[in-house]
Amino acid sequence: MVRDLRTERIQQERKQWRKDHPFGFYAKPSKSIDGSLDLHNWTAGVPGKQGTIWGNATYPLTISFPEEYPAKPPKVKFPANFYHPNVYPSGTICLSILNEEQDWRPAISIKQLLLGIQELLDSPNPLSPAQEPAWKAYQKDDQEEYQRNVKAQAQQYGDKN
Amino acid sequence: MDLQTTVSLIETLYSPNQDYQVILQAQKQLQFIQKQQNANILAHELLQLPSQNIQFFGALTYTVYFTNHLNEINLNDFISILLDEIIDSLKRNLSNLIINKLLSNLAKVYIKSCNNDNENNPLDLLLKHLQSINYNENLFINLSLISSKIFAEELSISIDLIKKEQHEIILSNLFNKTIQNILNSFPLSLINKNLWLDCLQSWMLYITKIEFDYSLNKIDLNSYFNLIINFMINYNDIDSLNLISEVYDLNPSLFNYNNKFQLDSILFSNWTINFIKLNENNFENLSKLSRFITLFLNSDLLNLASKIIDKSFDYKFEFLLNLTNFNGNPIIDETFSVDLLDFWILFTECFINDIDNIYLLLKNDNNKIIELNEKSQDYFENLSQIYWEKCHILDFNNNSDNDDADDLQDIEDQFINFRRDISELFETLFSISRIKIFNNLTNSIINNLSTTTNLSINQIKNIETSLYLLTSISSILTENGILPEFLNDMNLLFKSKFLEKILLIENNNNNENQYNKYLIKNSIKFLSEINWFYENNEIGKFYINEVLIYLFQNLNNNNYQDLSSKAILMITDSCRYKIINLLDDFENAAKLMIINKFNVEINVRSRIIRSYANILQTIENFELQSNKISNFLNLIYNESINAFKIIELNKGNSIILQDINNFLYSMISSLVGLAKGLKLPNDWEDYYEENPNKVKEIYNYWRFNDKFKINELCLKLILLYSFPNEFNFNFNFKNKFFFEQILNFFKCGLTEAFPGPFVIKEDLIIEYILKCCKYFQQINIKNNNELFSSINKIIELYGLVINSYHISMTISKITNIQFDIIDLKMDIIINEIFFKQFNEIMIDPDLIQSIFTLFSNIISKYPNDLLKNKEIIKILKISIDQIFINNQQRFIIISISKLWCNLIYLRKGKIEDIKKINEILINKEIGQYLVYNLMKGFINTSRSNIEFFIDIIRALTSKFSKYLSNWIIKSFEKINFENFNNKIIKIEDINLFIKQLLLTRGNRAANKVIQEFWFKITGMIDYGM
Repeated sequence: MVRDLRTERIQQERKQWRKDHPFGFYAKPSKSIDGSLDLHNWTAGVPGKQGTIWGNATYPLTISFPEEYPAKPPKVKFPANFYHPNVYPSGTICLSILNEEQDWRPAISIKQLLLGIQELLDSPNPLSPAQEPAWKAYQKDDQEEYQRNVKAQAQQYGDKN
Repeated sequence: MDLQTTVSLIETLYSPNQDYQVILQAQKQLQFIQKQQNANILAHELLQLPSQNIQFFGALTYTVYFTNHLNEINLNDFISILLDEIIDSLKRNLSNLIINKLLSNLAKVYIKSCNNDNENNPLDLLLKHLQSINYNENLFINLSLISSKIFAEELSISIDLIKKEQHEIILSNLFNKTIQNILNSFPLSLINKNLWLDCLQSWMLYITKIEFDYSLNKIDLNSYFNLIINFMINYNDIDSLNLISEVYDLNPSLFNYNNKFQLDSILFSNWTINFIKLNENNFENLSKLSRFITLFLNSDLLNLASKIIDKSFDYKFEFLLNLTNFNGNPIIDETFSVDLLDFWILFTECFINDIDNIYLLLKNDNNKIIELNEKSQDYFENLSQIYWEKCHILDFNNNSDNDDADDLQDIEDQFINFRRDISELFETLFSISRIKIFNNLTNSIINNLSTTTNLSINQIKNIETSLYLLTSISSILTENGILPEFLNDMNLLFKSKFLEKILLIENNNNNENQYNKYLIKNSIKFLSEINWFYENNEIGKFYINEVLIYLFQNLNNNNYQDLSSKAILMITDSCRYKIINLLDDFENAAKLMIINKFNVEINVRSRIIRSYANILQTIENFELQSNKISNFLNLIYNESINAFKIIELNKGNSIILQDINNFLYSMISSLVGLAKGLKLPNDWEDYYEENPNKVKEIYNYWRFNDKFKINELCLKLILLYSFPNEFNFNFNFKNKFFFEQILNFFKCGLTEAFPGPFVIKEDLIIEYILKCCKYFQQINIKNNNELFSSINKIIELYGLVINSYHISMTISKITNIQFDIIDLKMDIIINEIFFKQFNEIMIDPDLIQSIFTLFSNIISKYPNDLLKNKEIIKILKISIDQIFINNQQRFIIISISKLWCNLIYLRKGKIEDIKKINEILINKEIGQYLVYNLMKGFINTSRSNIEFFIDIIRALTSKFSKYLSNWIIKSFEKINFENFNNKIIKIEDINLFIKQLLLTRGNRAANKVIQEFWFKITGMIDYGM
């Protein structure tokens, strides 16, 4: 019956998420081949804010909880080559609340993390570039290329596809 | 300031429509007055005046006075003053607003003064005094409850400022003595309900917080909770239900067994049914009930799961299932199924995740476990049936009479989310009961489609729902999880000709109803998720053709083009060897995509052509393959020429010009699609190991024998798109998006290991690069962002050529396949790309980064070629200047850091190269120049960039330690002399740094030393990077 701290906390997060999660978001443990739930690896989706170039799409994420969670933050990734100035080519997100050395605190919930990621989508941090293409296009005055690529990506992950 | 002036300022502050500046000024003056030593006297005087605003400001002045003079005033005396004020205000029937503000002041002072359990608390004193003067009974009850609530709220606000011991005193001195007395003396009734519930809620929140934060012993509120439960039962009271829900949400352990038992009994009883009847038209109240039931059940899921075998619980599960199956459409008519879904998801997950713990609760009794499994399967079967029904697409249009478009959109969005949650439940149910769930869903499609006549809307909805859920569970299926039963069900499904029948529904139904759209979309999504069915078994293979026909038929409809083309590409990519027989069909489809100029989306066109290429790639007969490619390329070429021709004719029509531009873009994208599709699918080493003879055949054909000359055709197309004016079209080469595709095309070939239809020889690409460079030089580049981007691509392209040639030579050594030795024309290229466009390049950070990435790339592969360039010193000096000039530009610093690390380590260098770099750094004094700029950049760069400076410093420490010490000392002498940042770096700090750095010999320990030096000289704080 004794569960490790990580699993215990993830279970709590799971219940909390089901009890209260923001509209349009999803987050759930992955299913293993044998049909069991893999509590330590989740799949999630963050909708782009309406009225922004990220709107009308839900962007998929994976969340991996390290053994030291919640002392250490989960690793949250978009698909590889996700187009965003603060997302590394591997898909790993560069966000202070996901960084142990910066603003991560064990009390931060999955809901807060995903809301933070939603916020980051349309408000990139130009001081933390993680990939060249999106960062450079975002820095340009006209942002034509940036907007074009973001919109194409939004179409790819469109809600009503 | 006299009272009259103060009053006038207060009136100004509270009067409407005042000028903002006037208000600000009044506010400033009043704040000053409130902070004065005698503000308490003013507060009292203000409270005596008749105006409510003035009185409130008086009460507020007490707050400010107390906050500002906390250490100077006697708290007990101040409590007496406040008590007098409150009693006086009550006697004068002042407004509740003022009395509440005074009570809040009293609570604040009490919190600061409460250090002793033996003293009477001020609330107690107040109430006793009021009793002693026979204060009106009803008013007394109200005041007691309100003041209790205000005290709890003030405690919650200040919770973190109060020590644990003080909380204990407050509980004993205030809660036990006074608050409980109030709650007990004036029990919950219809008259005082709201005040009473508010009071208890405030105390419950405070008690919960201190229980969590300070690990204080639990305070038992159950007698009060019991009153609320009974009140809720007797009066069907929604406010009581709200409070009980809140407790369950925050801290369900506050409820004792008896209360939980009572709640359990009434929730699964007629009370709930009556409540539902009473609130038939009150959606909000019903939703509150269903959410409470969910909270109640979630608090003890495991135990509930183990009770499935307990017969006395049967009615509860039946009750829950019935409630879930509440009549009506979810979201629109009822919320029970929506709210209870959260409970069911967690409950069913227990049977996967916590099954061992459930068995433990059953003491691992085998009989009980068998019974549990059987009964749970029955319930889950029932549950899946209920949610399958609830998952049916709603008729959003039917509600349009009453609702506006936003509401409809809102309902649709809610339903999409609800459906996604249902699919999550089905994934779990599928994990528990795989065969049954899969079988039910496929059967439902087969059965609903078995009707020969027109299908009803309901049947269409049934099929759509099953497809939606099948798609969801198929997405989690992997090759290892496939059971023979699934294959059998799929076989039956395909045998039922379900795709044909679905198409018939679409065709028979002229009015485009929303159900058909959902049905087609979900059928396509389903076909995209069953790769496991087509890929590795014979049954699936048999149906691929049928699937592709279906997808192509839907490709004709704009609504489904995007989804269908994605599905087609996915299938042709993974099953290319199984559909060779469809080559001609795909060829026709791909050609149609080209001929159908403006009716096809760019992405769709590109996907279909790539799909064709995927199949074309599997053809063993190279000549046939080449013939087909050449036909296709000629078609693209001719259609492109036609499009270029009509540009001139439509110069005034921007819409048509945009269409042509899109078409041309999609043509060049098609070339890329074709090239991508025809790439060899595997890693070259694996491919060569598995097919050595095939590789030789590929090599021989594409290297020597291609009579259709595909390479030449490709280059002709590339030249057409790059320099249309050379083909007599008045169309400037300036579209960076076109050029991006050209680069993508070359990239496809340059990343191939062996010759192929789209592998253009490196020397031809070099000629192309030189041609582009010459072209750029003719154009005024300064105001042309498009061209900046194109130069960037050209630099990148040359880098790819270097890489490709390097890999080819490696492959040649391993495989004995001969590749041509070519002249990389490095000096010419550097001159054309870099020096001839130097001024343009150096004003664009992207171009600076690209050029130094290219140099770094060359050094890592052909160091000699660059080191022998007669302008090498110039190149290196330019790079060094950038280290300081662009020390904040992360990507420039990354590229230059790589260049210098490659130069210093010179891993591919021969002895003569090493001698050359030594000579440059030491004799030509570039080492000193480098370190000076490096240090200047280092002390000015931002935290996130220092790692790239560290890499160069480590490399120098490792290879030039003998000179580094001197270089650093001299650099800092100069930096200190220049006093660039008005900051002198101490010589002892520099010496210590050099000593520690050299000790590391450039190993990993150097990172810490360099970082610490950076923190020291910049004064930044180390956050533990």
